[in-house]
Amino acid sequence: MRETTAHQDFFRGVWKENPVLVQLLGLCPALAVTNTVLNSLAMAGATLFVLLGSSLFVSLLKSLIPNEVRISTYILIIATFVTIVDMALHALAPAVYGELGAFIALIVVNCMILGRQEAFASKRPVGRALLDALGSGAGFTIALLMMGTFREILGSGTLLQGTPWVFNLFGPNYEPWVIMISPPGGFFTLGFILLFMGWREEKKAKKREIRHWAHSLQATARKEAA
Amino acid sequence: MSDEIRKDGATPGTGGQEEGAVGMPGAGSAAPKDEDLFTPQGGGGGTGAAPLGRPPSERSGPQTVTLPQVGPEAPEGAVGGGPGAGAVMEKTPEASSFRLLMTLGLAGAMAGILLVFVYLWSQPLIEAENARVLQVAVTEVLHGPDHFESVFLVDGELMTQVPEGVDTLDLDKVFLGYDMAGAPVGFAMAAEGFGFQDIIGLIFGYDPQTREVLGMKVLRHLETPGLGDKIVKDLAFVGEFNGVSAPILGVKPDRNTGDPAQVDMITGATISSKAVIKIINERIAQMADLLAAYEPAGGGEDQ
Repeated sequence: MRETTAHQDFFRGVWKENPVLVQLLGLCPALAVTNTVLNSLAMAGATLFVLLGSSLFVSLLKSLIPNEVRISTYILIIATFVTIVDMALHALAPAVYGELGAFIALIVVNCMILGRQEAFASKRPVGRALLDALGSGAGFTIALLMMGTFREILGSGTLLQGTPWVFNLFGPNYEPWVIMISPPGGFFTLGFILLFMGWREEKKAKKREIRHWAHSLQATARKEAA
Repeated sequence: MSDEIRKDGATPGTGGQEEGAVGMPGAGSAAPKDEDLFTPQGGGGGTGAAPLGRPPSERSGPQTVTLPQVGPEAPEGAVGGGPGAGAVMEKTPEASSFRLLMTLGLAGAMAGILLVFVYLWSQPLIEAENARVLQVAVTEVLHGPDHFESVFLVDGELMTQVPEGVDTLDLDKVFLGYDMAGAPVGFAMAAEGFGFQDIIGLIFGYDPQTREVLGMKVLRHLETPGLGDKIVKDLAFVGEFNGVSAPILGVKPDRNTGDPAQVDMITGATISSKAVIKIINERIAQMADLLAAYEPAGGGEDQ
């Protein structure tokens, strides 16, 4: 197994291998509940909690879990944490719970979480597993917040709706783009963000290509001179 | 699951195909060797816990080809005398069925016990919140009664004291509100029915003497955000129900003739508006005679 530094373990998930924007995992919550910033934050927080909890336990128990039943055990651990977060959110934040509804329970099948267990936590020491979970959770939060901000601003004309710090951005005469807070708006938003990511990636690649080309040109020139 | 592995592993590639050869964790270059390593668990041997080998029988070779973790540092046999991945896998016997059962059984039992405690902690909080929501809703649709009491429907009769042995949770009930002087101000009734996407649950105040709806509040719904959810968010629409004669008639705003039974429906949320009106009308039709005949048995207790 390739050795990685703690720094790499944390930051890999944040941006370079962002679960949603790069790996395209966990798209169901990313599309379904990002119609306001508050909902995005709540979903991201719940997912981060489940990710941390299950990474901790999978990493702790990795040598005790027989390989044949590892997936079922991971799912069991994940489902336990999802149920905890479901009950806790219902008890502590009923309003948010009402908005997120079934999507809290659906964290169980977020393949980003199972993916981190299988690819990372089941093979690494506890500290690293937690760092990786934190990193991926942060990446997930960033992606959801990007979508939530974009959709709420266009779809409702507000920011931080549902909290005491709500901003009304465009005044009372703004006609909201209702489609942005309905499911198609989620697809549009994700599509635009992915388009942007791809465009940046392509630009970077082009730059690299040009550099390579320049190098090889120089090399040939040198050879010819010699 | 191999899907997840592959997705996860393939990521560096999708991040920039060209990078494969330059800076990424050697997904491409390591591929041929990985086919021999078979499993991410065995890769590299000796990092962290002992790799749990999988018997070769259950693998299908190339599925883990692109795992980034199995980098070029871990080619087969290059780990020297250490527990090379291949060697470990051959020696590890298949875990016994008993062990598999025990693992899953224990994990399940522990999860269950943990959840019981969380449940015990959260349930009272949830119930208290539900009671608070109901209290607020009843107060709102009856426009701030001094107090209210629950009236249960037992065998077609309304009564505040249920007979022995009847569970109040199974009974249909309404709430009778009183003003400061102890005079009844109206009933609050919960009702539900189909909306545009799912069941709409609401509560409304009703005065059986004047046959008027006093107020309405939607408690739960899954109507379209931005359109159907105006039945909650459009305060003009909600306000229409303050003092409207039953049975209610939903009309388009430009056709309103000022009849006291007319309610302006919401443009863009016709089905949801109609559903709300229908739910209220049906509930009133069901209860009106009973409520009109009901004689409150004195001041009633505080709730």
